[in-house]
Amino acid sequence: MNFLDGLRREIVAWSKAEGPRWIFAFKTTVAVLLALAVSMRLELGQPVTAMVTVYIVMHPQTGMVLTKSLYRVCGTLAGTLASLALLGLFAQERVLFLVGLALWVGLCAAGAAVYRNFKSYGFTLAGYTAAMIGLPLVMQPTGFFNYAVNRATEVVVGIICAGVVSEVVFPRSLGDGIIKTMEERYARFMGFVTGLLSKSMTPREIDRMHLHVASNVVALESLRSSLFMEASDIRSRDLRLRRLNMDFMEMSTTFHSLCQILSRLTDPDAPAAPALASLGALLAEALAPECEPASGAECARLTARRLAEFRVDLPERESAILRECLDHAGHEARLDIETALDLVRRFVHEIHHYMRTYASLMEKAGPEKLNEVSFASRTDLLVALVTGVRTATAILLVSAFWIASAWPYGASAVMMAAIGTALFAPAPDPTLAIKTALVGTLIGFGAALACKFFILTSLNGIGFLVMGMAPFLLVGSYLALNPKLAMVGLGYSTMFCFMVSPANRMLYDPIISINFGTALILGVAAAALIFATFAPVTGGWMKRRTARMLRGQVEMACSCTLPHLGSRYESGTRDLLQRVAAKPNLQDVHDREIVGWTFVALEIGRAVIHLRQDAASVLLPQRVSAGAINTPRQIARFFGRPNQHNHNAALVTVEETIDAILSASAGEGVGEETVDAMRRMLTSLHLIRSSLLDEESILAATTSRPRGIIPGETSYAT
Amino acid sequence: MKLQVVVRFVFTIAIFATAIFTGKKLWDRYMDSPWTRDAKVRADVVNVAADVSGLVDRVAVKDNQLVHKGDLLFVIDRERYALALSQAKARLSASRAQMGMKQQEAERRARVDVAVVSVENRENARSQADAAEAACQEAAVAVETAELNLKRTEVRSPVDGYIANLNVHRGDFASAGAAKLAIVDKNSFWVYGYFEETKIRLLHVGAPVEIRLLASDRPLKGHVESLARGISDHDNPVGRELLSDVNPIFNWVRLAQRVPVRIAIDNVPKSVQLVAGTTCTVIAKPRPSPPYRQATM
Amino acid sequence: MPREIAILDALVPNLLPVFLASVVVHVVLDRVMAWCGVYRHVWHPPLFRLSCFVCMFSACGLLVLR
Repeated sequence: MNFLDGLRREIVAWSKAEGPRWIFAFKTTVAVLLALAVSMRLELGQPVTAMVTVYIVMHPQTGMVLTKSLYRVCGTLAGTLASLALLGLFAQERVLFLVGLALWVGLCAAGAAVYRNFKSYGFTLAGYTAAMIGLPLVMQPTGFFNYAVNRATEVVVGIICAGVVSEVVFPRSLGDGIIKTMEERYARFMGFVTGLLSKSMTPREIDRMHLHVASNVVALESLRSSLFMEASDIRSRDLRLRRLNMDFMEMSTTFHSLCQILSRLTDPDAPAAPALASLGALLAEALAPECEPASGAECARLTARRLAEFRVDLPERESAILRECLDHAGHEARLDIETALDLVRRFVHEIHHYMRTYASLMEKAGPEKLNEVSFASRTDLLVALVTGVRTATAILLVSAFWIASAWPYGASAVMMAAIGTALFAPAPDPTLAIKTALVGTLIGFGAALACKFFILTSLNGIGFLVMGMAPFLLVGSYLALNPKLAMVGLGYSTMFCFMVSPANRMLYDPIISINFGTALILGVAAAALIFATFAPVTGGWMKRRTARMLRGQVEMACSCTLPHLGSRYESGTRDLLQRVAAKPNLQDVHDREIVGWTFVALEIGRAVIHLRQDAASVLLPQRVSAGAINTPRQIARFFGRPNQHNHNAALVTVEETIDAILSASAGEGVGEETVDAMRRMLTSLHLIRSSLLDEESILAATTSRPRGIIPGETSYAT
Repeated sequence: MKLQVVVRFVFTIAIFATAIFTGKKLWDRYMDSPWTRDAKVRADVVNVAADVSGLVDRVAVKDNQLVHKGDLLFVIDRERYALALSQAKARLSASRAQMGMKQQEAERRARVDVAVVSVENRENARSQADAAEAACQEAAVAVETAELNLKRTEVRSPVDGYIANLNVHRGDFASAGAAKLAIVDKNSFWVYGYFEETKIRLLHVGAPVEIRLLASDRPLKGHVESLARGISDHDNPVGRELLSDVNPIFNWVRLAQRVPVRIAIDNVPKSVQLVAGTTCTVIAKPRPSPPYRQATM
Repeated sequence: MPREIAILDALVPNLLPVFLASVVVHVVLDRVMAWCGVYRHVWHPPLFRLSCFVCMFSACGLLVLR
């Protein structure tokens, strides 16, 4: 009995961990084989196109499959038209055609780097579809129409099979996934806040959490963007999801600033430290979950109510703390405390708002009017251009080799190089991705030979064909869900399908198969080589560009027009960060520098935006408004060219403005509203100042050396 | 709550069942109804060649012109054949003269007593007279042949139809038997529909069909005239030494081959121009066939 | 009813435009159903949605191929 219980527990544990993976592998295999059978029944020329399409669009969550499919159709159409144009212009002119093709694929790769998510995917597809359709036809352009119609039909068959199977067989809804992620994030963030306020976390944990929280926003946004195709009523709450994400973003930035200022105030000699600590503890208590499950809507509403009570008491507590400290605190400390209190007030306001949105998300209420909110993405056009040039170079190199060597299988190699470069260019680390995919293609080569010449030759009929291929396909699909081996799985599956190439009239010729497979592998290898050598994405140059972009963000915050600037600024910065945070480990010096820059940029940029907003909201005295215009200008100059001189200039301007505000608010004849705005401006200025002065931040490391970012040890994240 | 769960389940399953049912219906309608988009208009095409060789003297028709049976198409140089006729006539006169002489000779000898002309001599004269008569007949036939040849220098249309591919011009040399133009028989249009073998069982001889020409919006009426009883086997060509050369590779999915079905066109409206070789779609009515009706054309 | 239709002089089976039109109608219908909350009252929303689409497409197809 005991043994049986143990066994059952083992099985349950296994099915929890491995079950979804095997279900996914099973679904993929079913979809692939269905696509194969349907293409054969419809007498399409290359069922392998439909099979590979299924692999490319398959995803555990249905909404992703449908969105990917939509973009795949668009990409395929665009690619077909492009190949038609290229063939029309350069029919039977191999050299010119290949140059044109390289330009087109390069252009698409650049486009894929500019856009995010599925738009980027559509560009990728438009690129390599042109290669797939155009290359076999360079010398026989008259076959274009039939060939293109056949390939497009196969793609559609593949998409329909993938969509239907993933919708109907053990569906996993993206909507549910998003709700779950939202709940997890809520619970995690609450734990983080309470843990940090009650000081039970190590600095390393805190840094990790900050990074996680910051990049989480963009990840969730990209998930949300592919929700619109799914059969789920969560779509009616789409606007609320967006709002929630935006709220979360603002709140987490405020929280980060608060953490920074609190950590500066923990100096035990500072008189306000114990008072602030007790305030934090109170807040932590108000936020601590008291009901189960902590992430439920009911519980969120309860917590929000307690928080509202806390908010009511807050002004009283604040003035108590101020009174207590004012007696024996200097000018500096007082500013610190006022800033901290201001941030606490803002944070409590924002978290309260977030909780209410969160609680209403869980309700199954009808649609609700909310202001339109938008996410911005930031891309370095130069980096996109380099990506495009890199892709074009890869294709040109392989093409040159093809033409110079008169290699009969050159077209296949060029095609695979185009697919490889286009498909892996948008990955966070393309070099690693394509290298692992190369391993996958090698395994796929062997498996395809074994399957085609030892198994399929002794089988007969579609039923046996399906059975003979299923085990091989299952392996590839299973690997695709393993984060480390996903690329191996993709390479393996693609290679396997291309090489076995099941058609209604099979061609069993080992020599042709081996030659073809070798050409495909060489194509991928060439792509990998180019990725690793030509301005590699993980190299220092790219990272310096990213850091430059982040500083550009601050410049944008200092100079762009105000409406919607806040959300545009924050989402853009996070978008940049997410590309870095997508890497498995952040051990690299450059990566840590970028993380450091992001947090500095987030903090200073937001403070600048608040400063500008407050300055624009009321009529200010002459000196103050001059300072409010000057400060962003100096900060922008410093971030454009970070050196000691600009640093000092910025600091001086900030301090002058602070003095101006202090003297102005002491003066007579200033309205209540203006005083209030100036107090908020003071907070922002003080935040900027303490960031500029912070000895642990990346700024200190940068300005202590004469030029730009220099590779080397920095003191961030100790 | 329990009831609601059941209702939800039943509702979904009902829709699902309906979907399967209508989907199956549509599939059957599309895949299994006897129709084909692979059909061609066909017609009898007569290749017209000159019966006698010679230079082409005159071409009496234009390309794509409608001609009736017996209309002049082109003329081959008559002179040679007129001369040949005169020659044949002269030969006939000569052999006729020869025949008269031989006959007189034979009569004379027959009348004379045996003592004067031997029996042998008399019989020889008789045979020579017979041979001369035969030679005369031969010459007469030669004259007729020469007349025929002369007549055949005028090439005339064998059917009512349209000239197609006119490839003869004044001054060409026309060899006897080499086709110089084609005439599409106006009354012989029919349609070959290539139906998948799986659909053959749904077709009956005499079944009405609808023919939709690619070239025209107006559907034509027709009926199934006959079904081909053989198509060649792609998998089994004859190799060297007359042994069969069977394909070693089989198909994963067995695909239907196509069998030609001959369809008679019942009626062609004036506005519709039929062109042999053009594409059309043939949709057979699935009803059982009415009694066979002769094509009215 | 003709079985095929010329689009830009390319003959396509009638069912293709019918399919595309069904997709468009379905997208609208899907929005409406999501808005009304129909999906909350069915057992397997994706299956339900797919079945709806198949029903609609088949019905239109059968009408066209009468």
